[in-house]
Amino acid sequence: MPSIFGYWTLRGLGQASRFILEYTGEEYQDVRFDAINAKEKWQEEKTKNPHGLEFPNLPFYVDGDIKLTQSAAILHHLAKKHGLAGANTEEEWRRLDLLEGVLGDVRMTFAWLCYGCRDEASFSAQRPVMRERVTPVIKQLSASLGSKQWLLGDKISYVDFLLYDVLSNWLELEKDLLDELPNLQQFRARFEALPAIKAYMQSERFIKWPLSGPDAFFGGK
Amino acid sequence: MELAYWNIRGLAQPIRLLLEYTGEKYEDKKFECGPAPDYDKSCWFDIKEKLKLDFPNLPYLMDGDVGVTQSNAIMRYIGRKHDLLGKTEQERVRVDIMENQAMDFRNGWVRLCYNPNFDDMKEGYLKSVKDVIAKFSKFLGDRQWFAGENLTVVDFVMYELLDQHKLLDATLVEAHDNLTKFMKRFEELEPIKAYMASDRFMKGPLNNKMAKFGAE
Ligand SMILES: N[C@@H](CCC(=O)N[C@@H](CS)C(=O)NCC(=O)O)C(=O)O
Ligand SMILES: N[C@@H](CCC(=O)N[C@@H](CS)C(=O)NCC(=O)O)C(=O)O
Repeated sequence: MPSIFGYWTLRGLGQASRFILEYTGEEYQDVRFDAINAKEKWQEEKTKNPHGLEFPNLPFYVDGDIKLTQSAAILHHLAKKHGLAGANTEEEWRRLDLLEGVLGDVRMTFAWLCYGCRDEASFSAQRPVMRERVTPVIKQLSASLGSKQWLLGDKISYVDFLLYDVLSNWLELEKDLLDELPNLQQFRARFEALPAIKAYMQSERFIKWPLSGPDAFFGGK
Repeated sequence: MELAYWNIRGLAQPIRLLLEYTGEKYEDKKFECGPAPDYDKSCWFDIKEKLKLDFPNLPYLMDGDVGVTQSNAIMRYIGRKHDLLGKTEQERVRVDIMENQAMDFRNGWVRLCYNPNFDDMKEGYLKSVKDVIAKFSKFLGDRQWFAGENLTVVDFVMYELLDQHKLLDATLVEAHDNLTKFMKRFEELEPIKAYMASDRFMKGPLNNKMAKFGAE
């Protein structure tokens, strides 16, 4: 039976998992809830809770007996299932845990800016503040990648999917974010050139936009 | 080891509890930000870039040559050393879920505590957090610990969050017998009991000085 992946009709917290599902060729049912015209559909499903989720939320993932919410828990599950969590050494675990946290902060900064600002004035005021906050971390990520192919080295792992996704969000807003960081540009090109990813991104299944929910001032519409 | 954080409970308290429980020898290094209105943080920012950390932040943990940031990564680092990340696949999945569920719980809580309109928001928060806590109670069920039979890192995080909520309104936790028992069970773990009775244990403040709740 194919697994089931449920999320809104947008990229958001679901995109890294969708990339992994596509990359690994896992057979999955892509259940999408319309975030703009039919929000109540999810509310209904949430109340009925047909999959018996313990903390009903989006994204969710159901794979036989495994019923998950929390995007990071879903990523961990997919990573273990498909061998995308490194080689199970202490050093690699440490690196994965660290990068997962850092990339979460980078995403959070973007979300604060996009969801926290209600009008053009506050958005324009906050934008440089958040850019200044995220810039050093992007540089640290660049240093951490160094000349490696992927964050762990030669082998792709789940944090690479997070990195690609988080950078894509920021780049929609700050086009010059990576101008002086060629290794991250190359990383993005390398990711997009993965055959399964390339095919996915050219298909109709791929959601290019919106990045965020309709309440967001940027990326939602 | 050296653990460094602000002079508050905040993100570091579960790590402190975990270090005490596992009997790790550690120095509890605390930075203090200045008074209102500037809340000067230079004591930290002056050294931030000089540390041997790839992604400098607070809290950080130094264990010999190894430097770790990101609170959950620190919890997992210590947890791996002491086999506190779940012993079965099912326990490990429950740890993954709870780690993030607890972070959502914490984010909502911190947003309230640091909000300038704390007084207006409190009522609404109390209402919605009741459901959140009820879900945690249901998830725990009649298990000993959140992952199952075995104590794991998420118990340290949940204990701390529930304890902080008791300071807002004790009935939030009292409404659930299993959560009350869980907290008691946790407090009775020998090293935790000893820690809480010692003068190393920090009762407060929960939050930094700009917070509207838990800043004392
Ligand atoms: N920490 C959770 C956050 C989940 C979350 O906030 N989901 C948002 C969309 S990004 C949502 O709309 N959830 C549906 C709901 O709250 O019912 C995760 O990583 O999965
Ligand atoms: N995701 C990080 C967040 C860390 C964080 O936001 N730390 C705050 C205190 S709670 C800080 O003051 N960091 C110092 C800095 O940003 O330089 C974690 O879980 O450790």
